[in-house]
Amino acid sequence: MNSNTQEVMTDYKHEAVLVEGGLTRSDIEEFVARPLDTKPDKKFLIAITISGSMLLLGALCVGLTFWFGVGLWGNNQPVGWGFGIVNFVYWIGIGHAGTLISAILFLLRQRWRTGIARFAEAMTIFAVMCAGLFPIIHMGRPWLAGYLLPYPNQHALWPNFTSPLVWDVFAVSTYFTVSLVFWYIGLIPDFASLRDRTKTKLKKIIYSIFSLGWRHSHRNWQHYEKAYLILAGFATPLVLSVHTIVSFDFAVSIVPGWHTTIFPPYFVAGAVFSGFAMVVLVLVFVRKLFNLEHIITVTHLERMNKIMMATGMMVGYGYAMEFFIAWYSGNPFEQFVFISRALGPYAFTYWIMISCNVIIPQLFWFKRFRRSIPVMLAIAILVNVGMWMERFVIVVTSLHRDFLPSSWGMFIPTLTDFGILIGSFGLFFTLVILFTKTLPVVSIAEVKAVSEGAQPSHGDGH
Amino acid sequence: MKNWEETIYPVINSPLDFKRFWQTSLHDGVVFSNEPVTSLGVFNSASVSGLSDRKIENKGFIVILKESYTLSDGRFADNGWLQELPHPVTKITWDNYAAISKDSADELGLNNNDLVEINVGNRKLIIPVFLQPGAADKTITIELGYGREKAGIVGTNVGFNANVLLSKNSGQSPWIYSNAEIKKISGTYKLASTQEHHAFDKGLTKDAPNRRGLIRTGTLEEYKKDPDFLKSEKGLDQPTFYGQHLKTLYTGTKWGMSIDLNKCLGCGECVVACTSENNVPVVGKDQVERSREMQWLRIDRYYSGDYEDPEVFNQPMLCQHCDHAPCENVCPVAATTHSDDGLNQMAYNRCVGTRYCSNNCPYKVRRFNFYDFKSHFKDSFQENNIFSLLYNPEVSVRSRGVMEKCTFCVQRIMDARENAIRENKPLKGSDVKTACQEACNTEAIKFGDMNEKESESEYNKYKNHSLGYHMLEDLNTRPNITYLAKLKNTHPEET
Repeated sequence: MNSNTQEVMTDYKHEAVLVEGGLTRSDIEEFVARPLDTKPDKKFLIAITISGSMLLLGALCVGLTFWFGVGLWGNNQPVGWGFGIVNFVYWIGIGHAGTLISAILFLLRQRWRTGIARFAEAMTIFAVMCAGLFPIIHMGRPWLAGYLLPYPNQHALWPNFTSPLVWDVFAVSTYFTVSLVFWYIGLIPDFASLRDRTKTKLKKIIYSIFSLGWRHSHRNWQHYEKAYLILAGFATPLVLSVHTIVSFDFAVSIVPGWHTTIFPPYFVAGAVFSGFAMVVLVLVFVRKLFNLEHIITVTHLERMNKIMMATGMMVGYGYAMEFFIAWYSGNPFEQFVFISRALGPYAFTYWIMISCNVIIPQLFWFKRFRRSIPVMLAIAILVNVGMWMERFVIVVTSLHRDFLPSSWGMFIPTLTDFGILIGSFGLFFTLVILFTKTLPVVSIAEVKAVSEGAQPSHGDGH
Repeated sequence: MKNWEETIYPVINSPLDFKRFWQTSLHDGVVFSNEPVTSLGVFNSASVSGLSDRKIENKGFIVILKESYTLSDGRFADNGWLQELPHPVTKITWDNYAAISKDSADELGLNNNDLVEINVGNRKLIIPVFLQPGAADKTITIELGYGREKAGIVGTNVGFNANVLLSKNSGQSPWIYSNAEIKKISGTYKLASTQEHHAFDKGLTKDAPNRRGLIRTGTLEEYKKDPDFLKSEKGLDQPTFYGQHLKTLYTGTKWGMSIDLNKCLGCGECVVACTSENNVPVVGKDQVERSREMQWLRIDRYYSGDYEDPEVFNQPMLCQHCDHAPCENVCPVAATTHSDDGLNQMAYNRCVGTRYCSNNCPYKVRRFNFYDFKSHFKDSFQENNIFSLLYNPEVSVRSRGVMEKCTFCVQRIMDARENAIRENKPLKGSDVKTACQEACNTEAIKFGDMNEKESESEYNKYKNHSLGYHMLEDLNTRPNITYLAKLKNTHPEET
């Protein structure tokens, strides 16, 4: 590896090996498509049983909440938002890595993204699905969620366009739509490949419908590349805008600890940070279970770890800056909230956040750790814990002690809160597991294109 | 009827003829007869002579029993409004407790909510402890009227029956017992309070209400010297970057309220009046514990000073009907909006319950229906069918999942406006009295139209008073409730 780095520095024509093990193009197709052709094995059934049980638990808790009311949660008078919004922001953040990998890295011609883009993008879609549920279930009257949509009605009533929650509706629904379309467009050539190789009739029909008559022709590819590029262009600003708007939910308010201008960049960095941690976490298992070590290589994981470390430090800068501004602003309410975060009744959440998000990822300065599966697995889990805690710190500690000491109170989560949190992970992993069995987890067409000898060449790298 | 006509009617000596007397009595349900007073008792002065200067031997604690502030001797135990009315000082609801001083508690190793056993003679009571700032050392104060075993849906088995400590031959007052023993026993019992107890914390939370400018105070001397002293001397009203208020927006009536902190006793009558007027649900102890009480109006109690000798401030806190209301711009469905006459109003039917408005309210006066409170709790009176007659028909009963808050008694405003239209008169500020205003014993609350001339409106005299201030003015919320700063008379001429 050391010699490789040397080459990178001296030989500008060098390209890193993206597909290891000398796989041929038919090998790639075989490796990726194999899980779709085989019957579910024991490992798959165990996994789906666990995640499905978690999902059912969550569904039960949501059902109880719908029946009895949000009173089943820990929310109360000073703390109007609790786990519901914490989970919403957390899941929206998880989605960001997918879009960054598939869109921004595509536009930046980062060809190493091909091995992981499909999976990361799928995770985006599932994470946004999880996230999108929370604003609805946290409402007092979820059956009226439609009031947030701007639809013409006989009362001539519109949503309040000055409210960040309405911006959220647009931001999240746009994000979901664009991600889904982008993902589907990328899948079309693979659907065609699957259609061509499958032997079952039903699958053939389904794949035929979804491949939209793709014939691998030059014209097909030409249109495809253009559409993909345009959609990547659409998706790119969304990486920045969606979490910016989510951060406006807080920044637009006047609550000390929320009312700060650093929130948009700090939220986006945090989103990418937690998103990459989640992608690493899931891919470590997927590449092992589906024997995709040659396609999703340690180099891929190492690069993601680098991004994690970079965004983790941005988040750390955000934490430091919040404190600095609280002091610098001279606003006693703001100062109180930040001191209370670090030393108050919820101090343990703050220190979990700092250690998981700022201190522990520093291990990635060492190449040894960046390339070690157990280390990155542990860090990825801790970063997810830390980032969930970050949202808890922001939402709950800011609210529980605001302007009037008379109305201060504590937020104590209930079993229902935890049930729904577990349920959201159940939903996410159930979708991920089903995805691995129904669609190619790696883009076959793209990986073939970056495998050795795929591009016309004169043999000297040109 | 014959008996009434022949024997009772002649005795009563009514000016009415019998038929009308009969009808009136039936209607009133009561007949007054002038029974002659036979003789008045004579005061036995000998009974006092033995009392003078008798020293009470006390080794241990002194137990002081007193009737409950809210439930009296227990006769109101079945009234949910009173059970849920926070005690004016401790802010505890739905329970009585043994109030002791902090030093005594430290000696015994006690903390809030610890259970103790109190022995007076051979009489015993197990009750939780509450650390009361300013309480005398070595005393235990307990309210009576709790712990009733048969008191109806609401009041049965609420609190602890301290009557067991009473004794017929107490020797002294039946309300005071000396030589009491108190000891900690295992276990705790959670008291539900509407305010946290961190008033005396060291550091940042100490004196927070004064440091945050929530309670403004001065002395009478300062005020006499310069009525504007709060603004000038203490530098509380700094120059502002915020623009001038858009007065032109409200050309007609604009409602406002003033609350004189010098007059407020913190008694809580306004809270009950508001509860009754506006169909505010009773939520029960377990919900108060989770800070979900629904009262639209609350009395904030702040301490300053130290545990032994605290200074207490009361401040009624309700929706400030801000001109720049932070709740309004964040509601995604425009369920809370501003009216032309300056009210911050709630459209319950439109509310979807995101609770964003409550988060963004710096005064935290919004109340959310976490459950269907009118039928969810066994311990609330709403469960009983007959009590539906108790609702005010002018005010809608809110369902689960909607936000609510003080409306400035908008139903009364509408009523007054209709009357004015009917009588073809202009609507005057004094035509409307809010429920809290009517209930206030000391007339600390004034309500009126701030666009009226000061000479014609009592409210405006208060509103424009030099002691007047607004809560959290620096947030630019432009509240429409004016508080009058509290003046202390330190009697410098006497010292």
